[in-house]
Amino acid sequence: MTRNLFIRNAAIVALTLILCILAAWGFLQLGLHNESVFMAFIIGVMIAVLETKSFLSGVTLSILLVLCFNFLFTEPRFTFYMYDVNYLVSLICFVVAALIVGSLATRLQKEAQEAVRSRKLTERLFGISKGFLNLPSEDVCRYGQRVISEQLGRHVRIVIGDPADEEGFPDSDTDSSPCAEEAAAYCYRESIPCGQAEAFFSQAGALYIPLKSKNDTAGVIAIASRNEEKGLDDDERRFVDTIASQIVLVAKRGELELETRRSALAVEREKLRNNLLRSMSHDIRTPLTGIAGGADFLLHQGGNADEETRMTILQDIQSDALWLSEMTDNLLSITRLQDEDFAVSKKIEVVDDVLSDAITRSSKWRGQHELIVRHSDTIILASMDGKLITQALVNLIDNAFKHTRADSSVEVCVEKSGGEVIFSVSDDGGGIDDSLFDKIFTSFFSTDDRGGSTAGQKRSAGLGLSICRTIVEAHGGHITAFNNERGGATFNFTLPFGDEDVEPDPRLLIPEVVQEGDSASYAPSLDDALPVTISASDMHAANTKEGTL
Amino acid sequence: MNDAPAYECPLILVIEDDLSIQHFLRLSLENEKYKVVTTERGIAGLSLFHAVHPDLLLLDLGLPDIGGIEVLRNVRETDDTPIIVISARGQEGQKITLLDEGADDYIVKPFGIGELLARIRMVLRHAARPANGADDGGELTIGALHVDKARRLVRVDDHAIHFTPIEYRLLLVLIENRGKVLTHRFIQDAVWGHASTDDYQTLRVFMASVRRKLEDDASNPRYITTEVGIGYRFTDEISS
Repeated sequence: MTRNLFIRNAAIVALTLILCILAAWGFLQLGLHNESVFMAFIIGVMIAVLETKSFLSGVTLSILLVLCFNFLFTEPRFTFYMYDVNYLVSLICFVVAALIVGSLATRLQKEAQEAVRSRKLTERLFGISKGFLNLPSEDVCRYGQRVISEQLGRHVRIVIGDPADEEGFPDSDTDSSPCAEEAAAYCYRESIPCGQAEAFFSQAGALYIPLKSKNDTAGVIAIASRNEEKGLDDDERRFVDTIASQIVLVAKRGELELETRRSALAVEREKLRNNLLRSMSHDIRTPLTGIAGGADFLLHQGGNADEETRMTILQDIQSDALWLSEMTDNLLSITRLQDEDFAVSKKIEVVDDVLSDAITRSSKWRGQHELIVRHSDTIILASMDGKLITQALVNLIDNAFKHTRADSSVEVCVEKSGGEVIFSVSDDGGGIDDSLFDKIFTSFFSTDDRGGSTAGQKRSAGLGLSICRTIVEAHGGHITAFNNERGGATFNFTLPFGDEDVEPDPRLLIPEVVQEGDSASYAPSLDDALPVTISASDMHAANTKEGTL
Repeated sequence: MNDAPAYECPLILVIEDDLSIQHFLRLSLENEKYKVVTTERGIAGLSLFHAVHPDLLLLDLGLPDIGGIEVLRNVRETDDTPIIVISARGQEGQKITLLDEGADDYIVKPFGIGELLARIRMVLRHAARPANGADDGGELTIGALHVDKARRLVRVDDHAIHFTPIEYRLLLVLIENRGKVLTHRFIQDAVWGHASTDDYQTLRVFMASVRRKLEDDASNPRYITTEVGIGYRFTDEISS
């Protein structure tokens, strides 16, 4: 009990005492009986108890009242003696009654208070739990920290996982004592509370409470001390425990989701690999047979064959070898996809680079085809596995070359739309039969399956598009195909800008092309604003910009 | 180019352990009137190198005795002889290290002989040029690209094109090293002079910008080819 409260209670007791004595004096002057006086005293005691919320003040007041009454009003007056036994019995009864009433009032009041408090706590916990319900697991620490520190009025830090892996935990605001990290680590390892007011590491600057899950510790909550107060009271402790269990639930839920996604991906990958193995032997054997057969023929009977036959065989060998080499590229892409433990290894790439690489690589089948490339106006940065996306583009472009007539034109476009980068490869070479659309992205579908492959059409393992799909989907995008108005097929795929995507620095964007008469020139970009060293020669160049325009 | 005899019939040392590839390389190169010396081992290759002083080294990455990087370092200690690395897929990391350490170009198995011959011609030409473009005397023409160094003027197909200071410096680095594969690290060093803090993102954006200014037709890159994850190559075989 603080000093102020004590003075306030004493004042209340004194005031009620004076009022009661005055009332008693008035009653006796009016010729009322002692019983009325005692009733007034009981009322006084009740008021005192209710006002001070303390049973002790009730007891003090009743004893004081008895003494005062005895001293002031009973014969012989102004002494602590009394002649009338009636008074004695009445006074004793009064004291007993006052005590009973007082204690009842105190208890009632306490219970009412308790009820309000626990209702508030329940409501609060309910609200907090609701908040946890749809919380993404990565936000759980921040949310938990906020609610606990709001409730306790203390600085709180939460870490999921081993505190040793978390840089700067606990921070100096929470615990600046030298054994902070050690205490957190002990709490995590042994899964017992430690730090202030606990048996272990009581010299630490904060209290560490483990986030216990079924078999292990999910993390640690660090609670800083508030002023001089160190430990937590029962309610606070219960509150923290409740929040802790919620945090564990959310964290585990996140882990579970991750696990589910991971195993779904693993199953998908496994399926792909099985399909692959199943048909690989066939797919590889066919061109190998061609190569071996052709080489064998040339080796043994090549002398008898005419020049034209020899050339045809050699061309077949070359085309089979080329096909095998492409097939290997695709197989390696698959291995790459399967090697990754979980996701493809994304890095920020400049889309121009990927596109340019893909175009250089797909030149093998280009022949007489016209190729048109349309860049977006701005330079797009997107996170992706550059090699895989290049492979996907190469497959799409090669497909367009291989499966259309020799003079068709192929258009490659990249644009940014909403939260996605859209790549599209379209041709005007006849399009795709409607019945095939739902099959083309499945593994090992090939137009050869229809039996009537057109002359000159190159063999296809049916792997290309399926790999494109796998690659795109592993990036979280999707791939579609449709017949376009140019009378050909268009393959579109999107790459989402994930959380980890970095919007390009607006200063890095290429300014629009400014047409100035015949010569295309670019408006000056803001190189100089970039964090790079500009040497004196650059300054010179900047000054002479006018001249070069 | 004055010491013509050496270049009329350049000598190529091939260090390649796969005999059939070695055989095929020898046939194809000799057919192109190159002189060819071959070996299967790295150590033997090094002794041969110092004995015959070839004009070009074709170096396979998967040698049985010593790593390609040791061969390269040993050669680079004394000579600037151009080196083309022959790598298989899956040797990306090694390949980049070698390029960073001064290899001129690389080619991935399986490759066509035409492609290899083009690379060989390109690096030989690059090696024949004195360093730092001192031969250009301030003016330089590659295909339709014309650079006037004194006036810092860039023209493509007779159109003046404005280059910002950094873009211009990038272009110069590329041109001075044309015919050679330049890794991101090399370009970063040459243009910015300090290590990249953003995974070469800035560099790559500037490159994209330079390329858009140079190439009028993105489907037929004339000057710059990209190797995703490795770097860039400024070609000097301009087909007009």
